[in-house]
Amino acid sequence: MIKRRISSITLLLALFSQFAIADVVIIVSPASGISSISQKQAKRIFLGKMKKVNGKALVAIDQNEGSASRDAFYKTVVKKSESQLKSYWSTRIFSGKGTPPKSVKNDDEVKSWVSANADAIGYTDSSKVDASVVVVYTNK
Amino acid sequence: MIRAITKLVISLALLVIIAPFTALAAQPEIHGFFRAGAAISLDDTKTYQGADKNGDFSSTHFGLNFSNQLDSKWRLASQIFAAGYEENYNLHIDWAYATLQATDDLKVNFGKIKYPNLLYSEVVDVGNVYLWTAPPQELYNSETEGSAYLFMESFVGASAVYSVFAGDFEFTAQALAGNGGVEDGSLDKMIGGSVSVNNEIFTLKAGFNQYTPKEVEDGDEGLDDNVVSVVSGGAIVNWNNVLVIGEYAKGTVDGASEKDSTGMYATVGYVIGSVTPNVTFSKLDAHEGREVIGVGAKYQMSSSSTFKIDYFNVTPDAEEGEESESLGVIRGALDFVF
Repeated sequence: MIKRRISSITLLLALFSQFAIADVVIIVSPASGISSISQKQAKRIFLGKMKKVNGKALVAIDQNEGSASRDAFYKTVVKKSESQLKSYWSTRIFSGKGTPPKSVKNDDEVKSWVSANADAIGYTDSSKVDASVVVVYTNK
Repeated sequence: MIRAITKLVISLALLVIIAPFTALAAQPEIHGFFRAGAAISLDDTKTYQGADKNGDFSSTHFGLNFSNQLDSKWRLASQIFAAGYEENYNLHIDWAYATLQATDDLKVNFGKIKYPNLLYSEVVDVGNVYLWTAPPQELYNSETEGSAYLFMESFVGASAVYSVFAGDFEFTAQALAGNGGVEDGSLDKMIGGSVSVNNEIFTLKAGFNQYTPKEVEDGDEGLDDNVVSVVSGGAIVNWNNVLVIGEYAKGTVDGASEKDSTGMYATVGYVIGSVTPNVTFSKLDAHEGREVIGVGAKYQMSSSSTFKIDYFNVTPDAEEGEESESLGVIRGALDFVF
């Protein structure tokens, strides 16, 4: 009986975790010299409206649609839905003003890219952070 | 001269595709949009913009966009476009230009550039980005039948765009110079510019443009060589689920005030999940003026696709001594971006 209840609770927790928002952080390379950025700066960089922070040029690395980190990042930091984002980029692309950031598959690829490039900036689930990258923004 | 400009623009478009790229610089990119659209007049005899009782499918079109960030300073972009079965969907260069990032806040564009002064004039063919099946034609139409042009697809020349942030606001100022292109002629000696301010909730934009029409035909005869000045202003408010859009433009013809024209519209929409029902009033005061009241809905099928349907009642200006007769039109469109 008790075992069955524990199994049910475990199943519920597992299901709940599917819908929980991932805890994303924004990362740069230790070589970038940047220690923090604001939410507004992060938003503008990923929307292609700002290319430098404290005089340092940065290139945003995005994640493909469907990634949990991407969903969390755009919901909590950029505050746009996928449809709003597509409409925003359609306006930019089809008037020649810019294109979306380069996109990679997942957190691991973002971390590899950022750690290897001093001018890259990306986002990842906080559990993936290690000494190869520096966290410059945490959504609180 | 026109042939030389066309060659230059095509060369620029090709350059976008073949230009080299570096490691972290963006690679050449291709994007596109597609529309399947139809309109039908509910009147047996009267038509509106090609829509008769048998239906009109000429709004079906597609565009392909190429861009390449060459280095930290230069970017090339171009778009090819095909529309209209009457023209057999022949491809043409919609726009193609090079952008120099002169400073962090200043960009300078050279080439064939989309007309920037109205709220939606740069993306008038990209259905996903606006609420209606088409932006109100009482303002967004370059076939003005003998009156000052309020809208044009693009111009060939140069523009400078200055953008800066202050707190939550983004300010943009733009200046342009060149020759404008319309359905049946060219708008020479064009100079103009716009200023805009926006944040998360609203966008305000004001513009000024001056040009001299050349070789315009038919109903526009007599507009040649008259200097035309156009002032415009528009606003978008996007607050919670409410969307309010309004825009106005007035064209004044120097020495021929009977050819002045004024276009305007106001739209209110309300977002309910994936559907945004909306109502629009628009009006054109010109040689062949009209009033239009429309209701419609936009359905966001996915992040990349929408379905829209509008019904509108068009009341053309009455001839002297006659009563005006209105007609109903239904227009639908499926739009995709990729």
